[in-house]
Amino acid sequence: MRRFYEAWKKEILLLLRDPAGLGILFVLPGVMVFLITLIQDSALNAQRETRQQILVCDLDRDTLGQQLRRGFDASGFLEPVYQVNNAELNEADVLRLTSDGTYKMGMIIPQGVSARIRTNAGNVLASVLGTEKTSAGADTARKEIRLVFDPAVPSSYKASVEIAMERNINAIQTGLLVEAFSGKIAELIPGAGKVQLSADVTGVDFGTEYSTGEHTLIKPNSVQHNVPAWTIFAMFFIVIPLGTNIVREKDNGIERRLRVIPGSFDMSVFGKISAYMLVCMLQFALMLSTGLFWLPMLGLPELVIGSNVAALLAVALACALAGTAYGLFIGTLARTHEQAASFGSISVLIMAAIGGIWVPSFVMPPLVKTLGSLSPLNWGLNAFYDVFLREGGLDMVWPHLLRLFLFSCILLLAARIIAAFKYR
Amino acid sequence: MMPQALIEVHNVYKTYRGKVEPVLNGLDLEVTAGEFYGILGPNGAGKTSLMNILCGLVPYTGGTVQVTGSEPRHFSALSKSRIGLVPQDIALYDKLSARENLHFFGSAYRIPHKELKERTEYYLNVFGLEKHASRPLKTYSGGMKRRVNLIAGILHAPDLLFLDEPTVGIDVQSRNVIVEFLTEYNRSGHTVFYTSHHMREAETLCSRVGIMDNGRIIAEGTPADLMQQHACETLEAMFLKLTGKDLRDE
Repeated sequence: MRRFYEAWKKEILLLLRDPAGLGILFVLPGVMVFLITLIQDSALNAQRETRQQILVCDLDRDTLGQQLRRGFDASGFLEPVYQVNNAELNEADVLRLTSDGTYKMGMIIPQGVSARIRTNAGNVLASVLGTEKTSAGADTARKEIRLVFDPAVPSSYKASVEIAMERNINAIQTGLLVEAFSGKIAELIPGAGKVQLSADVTGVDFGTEYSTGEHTLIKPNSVQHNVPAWTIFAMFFIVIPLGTNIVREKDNGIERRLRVIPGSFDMSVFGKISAYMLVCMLQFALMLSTGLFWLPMLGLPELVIGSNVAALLAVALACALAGTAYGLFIGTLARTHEQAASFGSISVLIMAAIGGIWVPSFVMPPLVKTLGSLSPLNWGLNAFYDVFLREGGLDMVWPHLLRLFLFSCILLLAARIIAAFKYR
Repeated sequence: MMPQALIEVHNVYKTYRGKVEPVLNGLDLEVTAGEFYGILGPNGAGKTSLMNILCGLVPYTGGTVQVTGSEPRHFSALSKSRIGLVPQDIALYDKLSARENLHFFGSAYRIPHKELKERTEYYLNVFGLEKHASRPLKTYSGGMKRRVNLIAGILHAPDLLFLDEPTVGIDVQSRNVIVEFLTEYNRSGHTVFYTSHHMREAETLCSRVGIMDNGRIIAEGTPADLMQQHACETLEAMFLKLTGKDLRDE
């Protein structure tokens, strides 16, 4: 036990006297969580919460344009702009101002589109009833409502606006059709009432929410993702100081000296593991405090950690063990400092990228998603998600914990075998 | 009564994985308690491999080895506590001070705290390091580091001390302190097994030397006897006569 304690104390002293190593372990992930959360939050706000302006050239000046304006006001998602420099917009203005990036998007409603919908509805009804069509002298050409975008707008954002606008326009078209039908029926059947455009003809509402089961709703946001993501990343980045520390001990004969000392060499290794796990837990505490106290000071949402403290600590410990075991394995495998530092850091970056640390896994292509499911950083992140977003307890996170624990055991065993093999 | 043999090596072979040529090729050796035995050999002769085998760090391919009465790969804690190793490299933590390094290695040998503190201060004083003992090792000169490296191997007062080139690349004063100490250490009854390329130093220190080449001992005896047998005035001349003047770059 004394050997374990002395090894632990020695590692702590070595870490405290290595400012560069401490920088990598504490400052780097702290800075990353600040920067990435700020950037992602700002991007998400820009897309989801800030009302974006849309140029509208309404050549129709009829029901469809009026209903669209009501729709814009009700949604709060888009702010229509009908005039620029006190002049009504024409089609050329919309195209010019969106192509040069002055505005992100614009809409051109062609002349006669509302009348075209009504005429079409009348004709459909006439076909059904076998009466005379009303299209004589009317404009029967197909009409196209055009949405135009600044080429710099991301395709995902363009798609979301398209879907929203299409849904809005379809609802208005349906309303116009129902209104036209009811008007026609009123003409044919005396006493029949006429349906107003604003009437609810389906009796169906459409709502969205996060599925939380029996748990309290914790809204996912950039803080809820980035704090656990960069915590796990920091824990695995321990591979650099730990890996180079082990290579140095092999290089300068310290390992030989330790192996000649009575008692198990494993006790020295366990002392090292426990010291680095303590560092990981300090990283975890630092990142949690960042999410709870420091990020809100910058106007970002506060981290909500859920109510299962035991599960949270278990996940943190499992990630700490996995990160430390990986560092020990790389240090044992590497022959030089350069190998340990470069292979260790690059492999962690790759595991982080495919594991959903930078970009959530669900937006990744299927192949990368499959590969990502093999990343221990992904297991850790999913475990944190279970605790943070789903208020999961040990009963929910245990499959992730088991994977991380097995990963750690395999690496520690492999490191021991490799070390023994090298002494032959 | 015959003195007790602390090291017994008979017909030992060692071939490393992936190599064809054995590094130890039927080596025989015996070192008795109280001797200061020096192994001298050119680069690649197998000196460090032999020392690693004797310390139980590396398995051997064939033959028998007994050190302090035990087979090195199955050393008990007691057997391990009877040997000390001073590697050729400075096997110390350069961010820790001399005192912290010695405390760490001494604690690993389970030397009681009070005794460890007393021994540490004693040796720091003997080797002239007491004024610098709280400074990180990285600020030390090569000679100072060598002295701390030696202390770390003797803190637990081993019966048998393995020294792998303990004075390589150091200043004359540091060498002198180390040589004087080792002479005294041997006189007080401790056995020393030592490798070096420094022939004059070996001549001064060793009660017996073995000249090693191509994985076996090719000559053995007291330095005076060997010089006389081979009609050489110095150990270095005799060494060159036996091992040749060809360069042995590894």
